[in-house]
Amino acid sequence: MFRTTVNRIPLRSTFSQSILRPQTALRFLSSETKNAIESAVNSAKVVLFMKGTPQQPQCGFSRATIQMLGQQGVDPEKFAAYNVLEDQELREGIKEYSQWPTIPQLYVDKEFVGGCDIVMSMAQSGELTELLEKHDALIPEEPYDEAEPEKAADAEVKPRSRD
Amino acid sequence: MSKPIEQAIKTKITGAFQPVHLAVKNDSSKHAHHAGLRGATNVTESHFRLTIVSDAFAGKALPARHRMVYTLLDEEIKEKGVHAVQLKTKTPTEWEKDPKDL
Repeated sequence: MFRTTVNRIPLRSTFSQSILRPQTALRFLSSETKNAIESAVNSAKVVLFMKGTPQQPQCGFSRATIQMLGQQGVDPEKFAAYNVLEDQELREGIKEYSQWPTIPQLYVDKEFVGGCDIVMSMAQSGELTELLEKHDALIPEEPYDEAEPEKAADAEVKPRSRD
Repeated sequence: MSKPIEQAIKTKITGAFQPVHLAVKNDSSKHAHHAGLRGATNVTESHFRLTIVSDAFAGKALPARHRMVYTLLDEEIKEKGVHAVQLKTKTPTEWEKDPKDL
């Protein structure tokens, strides 16, 4: 029985590899591949199938997409990235699964959102922030306590919201 | 220099969408040495940027629009070594607000 384990690549911690083992390159989706991809899509709120890793993207479109997600303030705890270059079966399988021929591919809450162009267009229009907020995928803001203003002095500097 | 894939793209898109505006740009040279193209036979017509303005996109969200184009160019992508097709898909009304090619 083909066993797959799927490792997440957290956005900001050390690189760890996805260990879907390639067998033969499959043109059509075997149920094992499909199950492995489904686990990947279910593994986090925000899932990006990309070329390379978040720390070392191997493609300009993948890099741009990772950067945009970072800028949005996606919570690394809620994010997973999968490197299709590591695994030919994943690379072909995800294209069949999503019915989408290119990488990168973004999933939010198990739903396919789009590739780089779409993510960029949504980032520009504000739709991406809306989507990520709606699915509770962003780094939580620390509550500012009115009664203890001195706490604010120790608070981490947050990125300015861009409107 | 012959550009069979570019020609095929133009013909197919014009036929399917009757666009009021179509721009096809070839970015392959920017990617020829990249990891994703290692071992590829097609490095001269592998990456394209398309701007398509057509009524066919009305009422459709972006993923649906892009899928329409990908389906049309399925052969080029799956068999002819086209790796990336960047897309800007607009209706004529949307285009008027910001007529800028991708």
